[in-house]
Amino acid sequence: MLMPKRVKYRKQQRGRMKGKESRGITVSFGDYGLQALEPSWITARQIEAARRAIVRHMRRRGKYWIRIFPDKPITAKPAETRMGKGKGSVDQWVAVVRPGRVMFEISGVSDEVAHEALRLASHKLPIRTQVVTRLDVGEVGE
Amino acid sequence: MEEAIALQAIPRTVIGKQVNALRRQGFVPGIIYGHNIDPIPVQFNAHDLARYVTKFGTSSTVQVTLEGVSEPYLAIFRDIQYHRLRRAIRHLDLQALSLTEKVRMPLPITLVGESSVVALGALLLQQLNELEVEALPGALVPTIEIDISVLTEMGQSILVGDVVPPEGIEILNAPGDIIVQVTHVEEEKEAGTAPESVEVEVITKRPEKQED
Repeated sequence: MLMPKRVKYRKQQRGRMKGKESRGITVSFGDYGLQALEPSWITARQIEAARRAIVRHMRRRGKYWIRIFPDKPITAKPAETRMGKGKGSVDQWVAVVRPGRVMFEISGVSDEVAHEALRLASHKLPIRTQVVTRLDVGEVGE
Repeated sequence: MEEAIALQAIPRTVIGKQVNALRRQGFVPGIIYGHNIDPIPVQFNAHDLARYVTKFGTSSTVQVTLEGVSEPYLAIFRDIQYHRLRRAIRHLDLQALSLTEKVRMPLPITLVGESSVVALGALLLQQLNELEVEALPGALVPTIEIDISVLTEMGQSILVGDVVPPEGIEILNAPGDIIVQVTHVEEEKEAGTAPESVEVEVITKRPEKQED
């Protein structure tokens, strides 16, 4: 699973996920991408599950890119522990994703395979997503 | 020279944040600028503009006919702002061209032909989708075609230096940049259960400065 090799501080505060993503919002490496439509923490396990779904469906045919990295430590206290005694230990690593972020990209496969692979990957994630391509042009947008 | 396709624009008086109201009415704000002309705020019909961009792309020259101006502007798409989720065009920059001045712009790459090694299951990886070129407006083409039938062995690639540009066009990318490459598909190792808790190193000290 993805996680940092070394960090400056072992634990972090939770922070907020206001607003929309302004970077990483275009399909930059591949031809198809999976774009987040909601803000959420995506855990390393979810990223790995989505990655496996993509790889399994593409069956060694194309190339994929993961464009999010879980660099935020999330702490948790053990079960049945009294409150206090300081902050819990690091339980998992998450990536902070805001609407607009292209999380996965694919190239080298047909349109149907790419859409199906990203659809399967989207079911491993806790948010609504959409499949985008490099050349998409929408019509209605304020 | 490629034939420039016409696009209808209307002079715009609404500026600043008020352009959001324009977008609600179905218009896309834009601007035309260029050497020796003052910037002209314009607006486009959103539906027509989306159809135009979908059909012709943004790499060809465009004849912008402006209401109230007899002479159309020959222009290129210099910058397009998209809505980050709906991919609708929010704003458009057009650069008016002079036929006697060279212009720099990205031209998309189109792969033509078939590579025999790709047919056998190799992965064709396109690393560059556009080439930065400089040319007189008269020499511009909508796309640069690259024949991939020369890729007959695994590991071969086509570099920017291998491309013979159309007449009058100069390619500005580094000659060593890879455009397209034939590679093996990476073998996916089925790892069992990955170790869940790996210790992450915490940086405690700054590395000491080395003295000269």
